[in-house]
Amino acid sequence: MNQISKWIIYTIVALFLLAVPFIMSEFFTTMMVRVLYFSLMAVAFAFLASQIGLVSLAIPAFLGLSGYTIAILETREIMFFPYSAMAAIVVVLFVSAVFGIFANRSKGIYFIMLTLILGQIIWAVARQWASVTNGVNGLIGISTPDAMQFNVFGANVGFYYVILFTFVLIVWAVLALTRSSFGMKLKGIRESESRMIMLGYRVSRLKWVAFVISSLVAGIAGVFFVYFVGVMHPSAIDLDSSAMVLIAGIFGGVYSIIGAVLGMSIVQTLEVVLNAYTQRYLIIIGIMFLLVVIYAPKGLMGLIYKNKYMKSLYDKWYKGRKDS
Amino acid sequence: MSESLLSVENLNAYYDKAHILQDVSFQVNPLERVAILGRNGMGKSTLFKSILGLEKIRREGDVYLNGHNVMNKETFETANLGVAYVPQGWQLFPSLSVDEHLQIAHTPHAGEHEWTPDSVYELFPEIKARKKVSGTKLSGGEQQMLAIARALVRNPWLILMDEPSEGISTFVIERVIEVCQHMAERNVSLLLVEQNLDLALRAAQKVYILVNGRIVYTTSTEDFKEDKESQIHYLGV
Repeated sequence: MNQISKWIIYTIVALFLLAVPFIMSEFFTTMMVRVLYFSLMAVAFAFLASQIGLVSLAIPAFLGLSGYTIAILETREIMFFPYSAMAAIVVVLFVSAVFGIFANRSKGIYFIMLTLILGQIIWAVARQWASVTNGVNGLIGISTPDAMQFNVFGANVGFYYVILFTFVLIVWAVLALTRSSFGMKLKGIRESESRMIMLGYRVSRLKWVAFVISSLVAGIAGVFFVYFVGVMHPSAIDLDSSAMVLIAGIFGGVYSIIGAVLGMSIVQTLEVVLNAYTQRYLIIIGIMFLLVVIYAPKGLMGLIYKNKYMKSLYDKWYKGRKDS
Repeated sequence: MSESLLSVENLNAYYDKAHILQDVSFQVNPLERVAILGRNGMGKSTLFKSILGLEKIRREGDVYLNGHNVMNKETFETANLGVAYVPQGWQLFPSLSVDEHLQIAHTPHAGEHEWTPDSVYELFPEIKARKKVSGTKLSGGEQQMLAIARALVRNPWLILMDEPSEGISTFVIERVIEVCQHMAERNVSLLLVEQNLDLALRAAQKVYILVNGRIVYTTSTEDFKEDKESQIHYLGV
C-alpha cells in the first residue's frame, strides 16, 4: 500500500470518528466510548504481549485500581477531578512498580499465573473490604467531570471527544514506543534475554519499565471507565474481564497493537449486539474465538496483513518471529 | 590481582556434579590476542560462560576484568566492563534487521577509535548491502560478520570469540583472521576459543591448550606452529 492510499484511509477514518456524534445514533456513540476505553486495556495487553512476549492477566486489575481510587476519593469527598484522577494514576504507577519487581522475575506460564494472582487479589480486596469499597454493592454516584462535558455544536459530546483524543494519543505514543530504540530492546528481550544481557542490558529493568507503561495505559482506561459508567463494582475487574482482554487480544492478533484494538472492538460489539438476542452470547463468542485460534492463529490482523497490498506490514510484524 | 586486562585465577566450574574446569589460570594483556585451543568437550565454551557468568554454572576462583573481580557480578555488569562476546552459532535476533542489531548493540565510546555502525559497515561491506534484512536471513558467513560487527560496536576492550570458524566458508574465515589481526590497532584485545588450528595460529599471538578442563600447555603461536609434536599430542592434528 503506498503512502497516498494510506493517508486517504487515515483521513477517512479520522473524519468518520470526529463525525460520529453527529451522524450516528446516541447508542452508537455510547458504544464507541465503551469500545475506546476497553480498547485501551487491549492496547496495554498487546504492548506487553507483542513487545516482550508476556501475557498479563492483571490488566483489568490496574483499570480497577484506578477506578476504585477515583471512586473512593470522590464518594468520600476527599478530592475531585483532576486531583482524584492524578491520585489514581499515582496509585497505579506505585502498585505496578512494586508488583513489576516480582512479576519480572518470571516468564511464560509463571508470569501468567503471577498476574492472574495479582488480578484476583485486587478483585478479592474490592469485593471483601466492604468498609472502603462497599463490597459487592460497589461504589455509585461518581459523576462525569465538567471538563469532560463540553458541548460541540450544541451537543453534549465532550466525553466522546476527550476519550477519542486520549485514545489516539496513547495508541500513537505506544506505536512510536514500539518503533523506538526502547521498543527494539524489548523485541530483543522477547527473542533472547541472555543475548540482551550479553549486550550489557539490565533486562529486568527494561521489562519492569514495559510492565509499568502497560499498567499506566490500563490505569488511564480506568479513569474513563469510572467517569463514564459512574459506578465502580468488583465485576469490572473479575476473571471474566481478564478473559475478555485475552480473547480480544488473540482475536485481533497479539502481535499487533492495532489488532488488539480491532479485536476488542469486535468482542465488545458482539457482546452488546448478541446480548440483545440471547443470554448465551458468550458461547457464540467462544466458538468464534475457537475458529480464530484454529484457522487464523495470528488473529484477524494476521489475515488482513496477508493481503498482497499489506505484505510489507505482514513481513514487519510476523516474519522472523520464532513462532511464525 | 594483576595488571592484565583479563586475569583468570584458579577458576573451577561445575555442571551439577561434573567438574568441568579445573584450576584454570591464564591472562590476557592489553592489545594481546590469545587463543585457547582444545578438542571437542574439553571445556572451551564453558570457560567463556564461566568468565561471563552465563547460564547457571557453579564457579569458584577469581576472574578479574580491567581490575574488577567479576565473580560476584551480574553478566550485564561484566559486559559493561568492556567485554563483548561473539557466541558460537552467532545467536542473532530473528525479528531485528542487520541495522537494528548494530543500533541495539552500539555503545558510544569517547576514545579516538570508536566503532560505529557506519565504521563496521566499512569493515564488512557485505552486510551493509543487506542492512534491512533480518539478521537470521543472512548466509552463515554474513551472520558471522554481523556477530563480530555487533561485538565491535559495543566498543569493548576485549572480545571473546567462541569458535568463529564453525559453519563458515574459507573466504569468511580469511576475513575473520584479517579482522582479528587488526584489532590491536583499534585498542581491542582478543580471546578466542577455536578448534581450527590454522585460524587460531594466524589470528592469535599466544596459545593456551585446554585438556579435560585444565590448561596444560602455554606457548607463543610462533613456537606452536613449529612444534608439530605438541600439535599431534594435544590436538591430534
